[in-house]
Amino acid sequence: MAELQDSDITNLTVTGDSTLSDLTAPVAHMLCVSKNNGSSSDPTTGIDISWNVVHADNDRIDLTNNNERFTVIEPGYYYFAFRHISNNDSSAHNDLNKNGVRLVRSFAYWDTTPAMPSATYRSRMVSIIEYMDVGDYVTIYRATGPLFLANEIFITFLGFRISS
Amino acid sequence: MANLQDSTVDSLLVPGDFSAQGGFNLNTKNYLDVQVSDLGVYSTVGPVTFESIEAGSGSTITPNASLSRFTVSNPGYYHTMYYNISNVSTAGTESRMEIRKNNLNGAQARGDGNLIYPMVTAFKIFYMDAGDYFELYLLAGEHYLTGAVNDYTHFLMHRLNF
Repeated sequence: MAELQDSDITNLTVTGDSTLSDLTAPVAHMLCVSKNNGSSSDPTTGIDISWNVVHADNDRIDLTNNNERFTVIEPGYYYFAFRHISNNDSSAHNDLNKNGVRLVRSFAYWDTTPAMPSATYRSRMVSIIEYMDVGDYVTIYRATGPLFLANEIFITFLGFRISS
Repeated sequence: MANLQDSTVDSLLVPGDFSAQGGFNLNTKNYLDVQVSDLGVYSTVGPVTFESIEAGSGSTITPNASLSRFTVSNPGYYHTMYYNISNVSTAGTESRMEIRKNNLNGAQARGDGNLIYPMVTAFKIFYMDAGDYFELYLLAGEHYLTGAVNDYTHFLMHRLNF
């Protein structure tokens, strides 16, 4: 039996009676989720976001721990990105954590001292490339401030594997 | 020639074009990056009409004639992202723009109505069948779609594979 593990093929043409029906295309490990609870100013803080809308999932990054964690099942370099909208005159800080430790913080700032102009909806995002071992996980921790969660189109957390 | 019949493949990296009988196809450069350069302050509700395109070799994401709709012919998962600068001349009116699949809500970002040039961005992964299409849809407000070197606005789409 031929062994093609870790093979590199630049151009492959299969003719004749070859069968490729059992060959699966190497789709990137990926997961894309959102949150929708109908609230235009959800004030909950001090917890990881529990995602309740899955936009895309090829079952190669597990959504675990009450739908809070992106848990990796294959090691490698991953791209992760998170975006949200803060609501009106409020700050909203959210952390992208790996195994409970902050990697990056999304930071929408508003304060009354000194007085700042009024704000409306503000979009924020963070992204990072991180090496992940099997079992490592990332989460979005709600540090401070309300989020605009009226519809799943306003907040996104996604990740996909880039390379080994 | 290798005989692949009944082979076991644990990990197969295909950096180039991969073709076989039956239509199996992979293309690692399957992306599209569309930009606008000098539309200025843009407030036309509807799909944004882009002005220039950078496409990966063999990209199977095809723009329409007006460069406002981008149709997929290779089914799979696609990562999409846009960023631009919203321009606010009327205080309190935020700008809104979103990525759409088949003219349905996808991922929306908003620019603060009380800032002058807030940077906004949105992204999402979609599963696309052949014939499904992307648009960047302006819903409200003003967006600053300009920049001499196409540096203020990009809309990226790429198929997620290795």
